[in-house]
Amino acid sequence: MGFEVVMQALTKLVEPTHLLALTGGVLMGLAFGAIPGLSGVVGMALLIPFTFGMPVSVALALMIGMLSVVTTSDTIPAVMFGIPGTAAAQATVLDGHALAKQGRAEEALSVAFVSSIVGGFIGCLFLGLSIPIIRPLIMSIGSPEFFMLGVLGISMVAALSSGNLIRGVMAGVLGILLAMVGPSPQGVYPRWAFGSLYLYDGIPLVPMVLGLFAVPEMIELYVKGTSLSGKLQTQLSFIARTRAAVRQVFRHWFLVVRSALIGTWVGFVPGLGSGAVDWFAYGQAASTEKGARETFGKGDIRGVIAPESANNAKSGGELIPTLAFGVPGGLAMAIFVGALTIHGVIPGPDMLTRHLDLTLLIIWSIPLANVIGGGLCLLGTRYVARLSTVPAHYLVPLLLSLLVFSSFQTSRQVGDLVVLFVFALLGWGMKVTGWSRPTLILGFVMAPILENYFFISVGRYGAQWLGRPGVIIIGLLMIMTWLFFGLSHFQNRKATTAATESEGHKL
Amino acid sequence: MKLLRRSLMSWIMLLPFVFAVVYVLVFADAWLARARVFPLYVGLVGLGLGVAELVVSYVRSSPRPGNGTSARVLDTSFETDLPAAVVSRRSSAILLWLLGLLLGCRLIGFHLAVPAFLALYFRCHGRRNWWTNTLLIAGMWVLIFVVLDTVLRVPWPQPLLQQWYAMLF
Repeated sequence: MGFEVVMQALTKLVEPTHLLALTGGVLMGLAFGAIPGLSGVVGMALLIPFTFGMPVSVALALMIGMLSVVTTSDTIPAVMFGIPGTAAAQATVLDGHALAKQGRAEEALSVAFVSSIVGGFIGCLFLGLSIPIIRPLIMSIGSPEFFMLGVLGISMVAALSSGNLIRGVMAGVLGILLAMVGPSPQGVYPRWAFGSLYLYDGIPLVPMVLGLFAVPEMIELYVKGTSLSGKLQTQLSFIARTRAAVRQVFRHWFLVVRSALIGTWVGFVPGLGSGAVDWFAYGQAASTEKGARETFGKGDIRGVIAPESANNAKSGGELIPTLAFGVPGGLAMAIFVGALTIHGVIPGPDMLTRHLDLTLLIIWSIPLANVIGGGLCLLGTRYVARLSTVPAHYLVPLLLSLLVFSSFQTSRQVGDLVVLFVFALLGWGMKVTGWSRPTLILGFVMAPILENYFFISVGRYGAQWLGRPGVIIIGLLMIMTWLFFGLSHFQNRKATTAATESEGHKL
Repeated sequence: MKLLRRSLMSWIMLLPFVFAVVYVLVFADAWLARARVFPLYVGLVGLGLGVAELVVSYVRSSPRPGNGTSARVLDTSFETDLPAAVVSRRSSAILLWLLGLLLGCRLIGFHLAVPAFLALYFRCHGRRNWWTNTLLIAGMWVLIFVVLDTVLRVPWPQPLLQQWYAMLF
């Protein structure tokens, strides 16, 4: 029975219609990822009506093809212009864009695409391995542990930011407070809406991210008045470029695996979503990789590998609760569940018994989609990289226009434009004065999840949730992180003061 | 002088934080209990951090590594050799261009405002290659029409000028 199902799924996988549909989905996914403001959610919403008349396996191929590669092509605007194509490419901006400014866009893009392929493979591998054992694992982790993991994530990023622990956490707190605008998750009570209907829905993430990260990059480009990079450093053939990228990725194989595991985990926890995955991966890379504190944010290829491996692995992670329990891991997955239901397939325990062939088909389609998507992106890298030599007087107005559309596309209200401008001012100010924008965004993304888990923890366990072993372990881990970074910051300051004093003596 | 300006800017950046914390601590009391608990806790943490930052910046004598030196990670920094006055003038100028574009979109609509913005920008920045300029403007307009109008069917808001015109006649 088992072998028959495996063969059945394999046969479907290599059917020309399946491959064609998968490639079609991949092409759509690449387009939706590369245009800022559009995402897997918009793509899925547009795609579903077209799948109604199709056989389930073909419809699945289209949807999986699209969902798997949105986070591959979102790297292109992130690296080239500092504009994250989707929320999952925010952290790629930091080092990817810095590399593009150095004329190394080709290298950054190639390595990002190969990392994405490998990350997608690892996420998928864990999806396949975890399905039989996932139920007891989920039962052992409660809301208090999820809450503490969220706080740990923010505090790690805060501790790493700006070399100033207090300001890092303050930025995170500001992000959390900004996320309080809109309906309270407990009782849908409007907070901080100031009587504005627009604010009743909360501040939308896309115009906020574009304002905080993309507009400041445009301002910098305008201020400097040159192209992104004078000229491209490398002009390799497709084969040589791919080989070099593969070598880079495998040199950092442990980082790739770690980041992909983080991506799978974040995808697996319902609600954490795309906004957090890349920061968690980037944060762990910045805190564990050798010399990262000096080079990250200035064009370190490891700062591209970590988020790119993680965000593609997330698709596999998201599918674990989606398929095994029918609990979607994110908004795009919620639409995916809806589409499956329309086709008569109900996600849940049935996916491991009655529809095992479809589950296996999904699992094998993800790496295939990643290879097709990553391969296509690698083919186009040379041409995309040339965009970094386009003069600023052409690039700035075109990208500003694109940013305005992308922002408006989010909730399609005039308020999006106001949010874009307000956060552009804030983002530029933060960039110039060295306040941490990533911590603010992470606080913003995590706040509703933290609030929910906090209420469930208190409601379910009272004050006793603080005494759970998992909570204590994560709490200790958090304190150790803070102590470690506090001490290293203190030592850095001491070394800087000593160096300044010795220079003063020499003079 | 540069350090003083940077510190001043840094203090200005504290304003949104101060506003958010003070607002939540003062006004959250009026909210429903379930809606105010979490913001109040976060606000109190924020207040503590704000006080700690004040104390630390008061007792600190040397410039902190966070401001533009090598200790800064997890964000891109702005580094340039240009004089501060030039940076301020140019950054204000591009922010005004963006504001103009946003106001234009609201007043005359996206379909007209974007080509007008691009044409004006190219004109003001002294680029006379009209073929390239026209091609870029047309390309952007086609993108609006094909992707946003035809595929996504974005419901553009009615331009304000059109609304006012309709009210007059």
